[in-house]
Amino acid sequence: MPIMSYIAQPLEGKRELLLSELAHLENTEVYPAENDNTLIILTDTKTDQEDEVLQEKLKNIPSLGILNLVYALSDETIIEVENESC
Amino acid sequence: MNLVDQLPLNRRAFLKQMAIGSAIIAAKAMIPGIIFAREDEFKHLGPLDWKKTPCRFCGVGCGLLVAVKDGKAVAVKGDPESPVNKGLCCVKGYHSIQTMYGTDRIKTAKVKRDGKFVDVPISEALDLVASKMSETIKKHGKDSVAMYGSGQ
Repeated sequence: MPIMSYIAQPLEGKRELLLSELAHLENTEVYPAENDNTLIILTDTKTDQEDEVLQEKLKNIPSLGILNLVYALSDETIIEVENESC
Repeated sequence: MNLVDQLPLNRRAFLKQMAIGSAIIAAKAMIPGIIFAREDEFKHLGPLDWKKTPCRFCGVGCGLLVAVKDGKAVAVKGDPESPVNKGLCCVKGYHSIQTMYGTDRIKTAKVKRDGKFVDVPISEALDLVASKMSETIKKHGKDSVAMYGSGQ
């Protein structure tokens, strides 16, 4: 159950386009900065395979200039813990 | 029900908040002054009407955005479009609306009558000050009065 967060920046002048392209991606939340082109992308997928597919989709967004991975959690034991406790 | 009870808190939500928080901290380290004012921080307040206003606490002139609900100011954030504070506030700015609703807020002025201070409406006291200043200016010229004020 991978959870990832990224810092991203659009190509020059492509902020709105990037936001609209990200809005079409499933399992993705976007938090744009109010005073800068930078935005934070959070992904929450069910399997590593799903995450890999989503990462490829992110990398192939034409308006995306920079994508830096900040936080990555992909521990299968979380599934067991969550299933037991929740 | 308090705010914590209203939050959808579980293990996964907590880990997601960690992921978002880590990215925000990293972004702030790289780009000083960057602001992520997430709308969901105010979701529990319902629909809000954000009004632009200058901060009145001191003479710097920071731009604020004040959220109004049912005619009452309920939240504050810095105006990212303000060239003065670029979306940030000091602690006084962030808490400025609390002074509007304090139970010990001064709501009247005191004017001395017959040797004793009595409570009068602030508008009445301001009119009195204006009339006294006009009277002094008429008698002694415009350089005879001065004014000092501070938000500090």
